[in-house]
Amino acid sequence: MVKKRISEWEQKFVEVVYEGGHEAFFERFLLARDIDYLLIVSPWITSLSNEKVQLRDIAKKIMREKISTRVFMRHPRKEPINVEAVEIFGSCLTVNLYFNNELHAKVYVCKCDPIGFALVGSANLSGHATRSHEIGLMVEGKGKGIDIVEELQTLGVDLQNRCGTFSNM
Amino acid sequence: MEIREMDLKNYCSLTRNRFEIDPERDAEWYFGNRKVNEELIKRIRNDFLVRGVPKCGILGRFGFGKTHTLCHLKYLFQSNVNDYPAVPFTMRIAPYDEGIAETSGWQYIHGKMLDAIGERFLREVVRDFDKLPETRRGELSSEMMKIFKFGDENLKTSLSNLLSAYFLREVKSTLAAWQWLKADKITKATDLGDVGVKKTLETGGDMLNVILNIGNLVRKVRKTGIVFLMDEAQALNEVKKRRRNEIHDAFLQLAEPYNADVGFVIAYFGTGQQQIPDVFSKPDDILSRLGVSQSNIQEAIKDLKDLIKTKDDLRKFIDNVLNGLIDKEKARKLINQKGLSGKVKPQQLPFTEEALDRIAQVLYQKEPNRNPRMIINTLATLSAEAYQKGKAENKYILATREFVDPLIKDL
Repeated sequence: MVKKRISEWEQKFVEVVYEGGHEAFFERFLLARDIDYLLIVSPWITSLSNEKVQLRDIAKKIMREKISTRVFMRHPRKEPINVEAVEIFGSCLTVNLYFNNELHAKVYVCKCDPIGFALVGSANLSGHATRSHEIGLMVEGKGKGIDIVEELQTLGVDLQNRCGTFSNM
Repeated sequence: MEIREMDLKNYCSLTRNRFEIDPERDAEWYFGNRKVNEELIKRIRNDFLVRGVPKCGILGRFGFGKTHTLCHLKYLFQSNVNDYPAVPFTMRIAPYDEGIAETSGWQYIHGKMLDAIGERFLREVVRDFDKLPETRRGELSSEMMKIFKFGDENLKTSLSNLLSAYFLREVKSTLAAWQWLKADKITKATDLGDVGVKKTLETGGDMLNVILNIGNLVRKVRKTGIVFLMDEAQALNEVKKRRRNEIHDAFLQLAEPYNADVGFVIAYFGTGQQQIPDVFSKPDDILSRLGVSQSNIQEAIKDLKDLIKTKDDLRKFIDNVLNGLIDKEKARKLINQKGLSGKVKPQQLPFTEEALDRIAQVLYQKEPNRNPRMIINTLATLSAEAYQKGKAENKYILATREFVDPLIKDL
């Protein structure tokens, strides 16, 4: 059997993100095409006002392109900081919101043409995260990264089974 | 010619010395997704019918072709006056810094607009106005004042007296006139008083009225409007509260339906529509005059990220760039001389088809790389690498997939 040669480009499927928290992910999200699915897992989510990418930008793209989206966060009754995000995402027809007050993971996955990308790290989807000492790994959907991005996507199903639901669908 | 004696231009059979696209020189070309171009052109052509002049914008990140798009529009306006009846003037709003008096407020933007118009154009318009049969009988400044629609009587009188006195004949320095027009401090106020200037420009409104009246003058003489192609307008994000009302009001006046002679195409850096500077988009009275609201802002402010939508668009973009940069006849001869027939196509030299496919695949993987500047830079770097290696080994090195692969691993 001929072993498929993997180029250096395909080997470099992961990159450490030292600055800007989730910004690198969502800047790419706003530029991405043919998005099948967006997954946001973050206990705390704010409107990101005064940030380079604001939550309304993200919501606008979700609405305009009818992107199937799952958002996992803590309940706004427990975390009032989440109220505005719930209102913004709540107005998007293609967003399913799930609440889990035990949530502590921060994972962002965008499945798009050609494969997609994901960010796993310490940054919440909040303005504070762009300036704090956060760290993350950006995984590209190339080489071995393809499998990782796909596995991270399935979190959307796993987590769903452990959450309360607020759904527009 | 031996390879070691070749320069990059000959090695790649380029039509220019370097592998580059110059927004000004190459303004005639428009690459990428034609739909974006068509949508923008459709908006502009509709604006001529609905608003008299274009009033719209473009949005994109660095390298997405904002400047090139503005240059392309300028080319269209200059080469096809029947379809695009407006004289274009290009200007950069950046740098805007409220820490420095000279680079802030509407006066700063107003000064840039006047610099873009320039003395030669202003003279031409005043002289052409003077030659019109219907204005020849009366006194120039009185005739001019009749066509000015904006501002109070003193402003109209002052502007018409000043333009008549300074821009019809080249008998005196226009320094004082420009100082007045740009609302700068006037060094020799007595000169202006002598020609009948009755007031200075105190407010942003006064300054804008000068520009709008110049627009009236151009309309009368040339039967066209004028349009400002404003680049780097993200600098307006630096507008602070003190200047906000003044600048918002000036753009509002430009957007008003009663101004049908002075248009604008404003270019911003940004990824999301939320990044349109607040001074322009909030409140949305300016947007509503452009026929849009926050929810459909993209109808008036076109997002250039759509320029390269698919992998196919990206590949076509590469082909278009190479097609524009390579002298095919020269390339054909070089291919024959160096025995490269069958390995490379003249319109792709020095790249093989397989290498270009790979470059397209790699660039397309990451969203920030899907833009004209990144693509052109990558092609330029790779062709320079092939040239350097070829020169060192004195043989023609093609940019094959194997050659480019290690060089694009970090993209």
